[in-house]
Amino acid sequence: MALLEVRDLRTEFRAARGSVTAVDGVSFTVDAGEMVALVGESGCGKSATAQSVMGLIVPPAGQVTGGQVLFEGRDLLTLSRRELRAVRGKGIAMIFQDPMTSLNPVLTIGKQITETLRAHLGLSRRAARTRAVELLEMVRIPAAQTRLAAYPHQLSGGMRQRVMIAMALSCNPRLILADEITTALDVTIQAQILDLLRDLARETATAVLLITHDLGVVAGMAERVNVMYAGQIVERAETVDLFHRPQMPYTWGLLGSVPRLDLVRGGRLRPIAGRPPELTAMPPGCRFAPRCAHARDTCADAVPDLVLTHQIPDRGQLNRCWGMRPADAGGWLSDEDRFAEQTMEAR
Amino acid sequence: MTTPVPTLLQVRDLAVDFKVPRRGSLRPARLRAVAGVDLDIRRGEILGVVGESGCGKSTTGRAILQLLRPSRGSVTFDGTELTTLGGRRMRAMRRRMQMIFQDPYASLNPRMTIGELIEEPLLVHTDLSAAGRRAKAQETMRLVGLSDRWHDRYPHEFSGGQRQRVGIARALVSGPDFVVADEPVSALDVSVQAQIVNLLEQLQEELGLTMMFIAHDLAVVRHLCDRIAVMYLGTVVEVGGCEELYQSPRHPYTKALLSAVPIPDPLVETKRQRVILTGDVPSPLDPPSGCRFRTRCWKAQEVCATTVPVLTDPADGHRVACHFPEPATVAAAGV
Repeated sequence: MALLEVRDLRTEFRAARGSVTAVDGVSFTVDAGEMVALVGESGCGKSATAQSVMGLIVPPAGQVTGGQVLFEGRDLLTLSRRELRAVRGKGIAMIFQDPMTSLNPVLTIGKQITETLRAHLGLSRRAARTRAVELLEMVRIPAAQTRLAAYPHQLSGGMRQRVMIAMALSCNPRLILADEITTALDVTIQAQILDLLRDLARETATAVLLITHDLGVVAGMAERVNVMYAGQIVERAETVDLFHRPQMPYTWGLLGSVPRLDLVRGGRLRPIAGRPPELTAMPPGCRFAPRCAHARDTCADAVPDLVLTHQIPDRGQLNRCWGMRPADAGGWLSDEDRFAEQTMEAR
Repeated sequence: MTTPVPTLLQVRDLAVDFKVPRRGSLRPARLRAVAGVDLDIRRGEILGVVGESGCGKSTTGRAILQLLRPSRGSVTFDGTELTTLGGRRMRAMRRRMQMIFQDPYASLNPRMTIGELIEEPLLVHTDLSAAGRRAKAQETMRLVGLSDRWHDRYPHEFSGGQRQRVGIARALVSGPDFVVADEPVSALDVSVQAQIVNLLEQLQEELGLTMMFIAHDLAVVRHLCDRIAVMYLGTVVEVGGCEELYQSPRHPYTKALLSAVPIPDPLVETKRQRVILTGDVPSPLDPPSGCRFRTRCWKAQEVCATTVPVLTDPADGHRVACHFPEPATVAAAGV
């Protein structure tokens, strides 16, 4: 049994007229101790998915309108607020992009960590304090003892994110949702934080759902990847397969859009034309079709399902693309198309 | 490298100070954001300026354009010293030097139409008639990939990528020969970012622009730039030709910076040897003595605390400010 199994999740937000579906039939799993990525551009629904899992989408702003979130076999969507509170922290912890808004600015770091420990684990004041120092040392904060008295604004962005990681790990959760945790950080600090998260997750056998827009971060961290586009998962693969044998034209486009430091400097980048659809005006068929260079009439008619990729049998790779179906089932795309799209022209 | 290209812009010993309130004192403290920067930008090249938040890269760009008054140093543009130039002559000069801003949401007046926004610089810098301005604006809109039918629309009707095209059109409409682009793609999603990078590349070639491209994304900078300057805490620590600098970084900070960039390939990522820096960038209010990088540097010795390293001036133009630089011959050390 997977540690977390999200089934056909659907989340809607209230909009000026009616509602928009930000998460539209999303299903994925995270196994115990595994690091899984959810990658996509702004507005694709990756954060809304994480918030839905955590039970953070509350009416009237938004609502989970369908599906199941099975954590250790229990559907979190059916739990009472009280039961859910017991799962948060101890079962699932979340780290957000901006530690400045998730930390309380008027309480010291020490107070905030010990509060969590006392509330969730029932530790005494003294035991909580000792544990708090251990936690800060674990996230490699120098002079941990004295840092307990610091307020969030007295710490740098990287330090604050370390504190957030310490708090997330404080109750030994089985799963951490890490939502764009290094996006606000400089690249050398990002390297420190990712290194830390990778080590700690491995040491404590904690599973991580890594939510990011950065394919480079995914490549170095995750074992499996889900690519999201316009509210749906459009490709799922082992990380190595996703980067070396991407199956969905959207993924080809993403990989062709980023210049790479380790390759010979190429010609022009190969961006994806246009931009993602508005949530209020979703195309009827494949949601990527309006931007896809390989789309045919079929693509506009019906949304393709997320199905196993036939090109790489037995690897469990899935895609949501009519063109990538087997030729006898009407597919028309091949690896040559992929390379043409993904690689840069030689200068 | 061999044929000397004339220098369009020369920056010498540039310093910019900010006053920040000090606790328990009425006298503000002095924050030196840029602390003695030398740069040369050759006509027709794109110089990338990279570094992390607070390293002074944006401040340097603004001080070059005299949008911020430097507290020391000189900026010479096409032979004219800008720091001592009076208001009217500086304004005339501005027509030739423009800026593209990072945030396409904040840098466009929401109450002006796209057309008005793009025509505004013409109103300041030229005596074109209304019809002439409109024609010029529409020509520029087409140049940056905007439909000229959008002349009467407002910024909020456009996506981030399109707003950045408006920002670029605004910078280019007066026909500048030098443009400072301050993180122009940082706020954009990758697929849109690539569109704008390609546009800048194409415009630079077509118009023969000279550009200072300020960014923190090293992969984008390498893709776009001819030469690169690496800044740390208000100083330039290394300058060199793009490929030389990436293949063989000589300053330890450059090396660490390059090795911190994640590469979108799991096989490469798992095999890489990373230099992970410890600690944070020190406060510019109280920078370390000597070499400003020494508090995070794994090679630091006593001399680094006592003596400020100066940029070398070797024949190949690959300049580095370090007491213990990496040997020049090491290939592919960064990645």
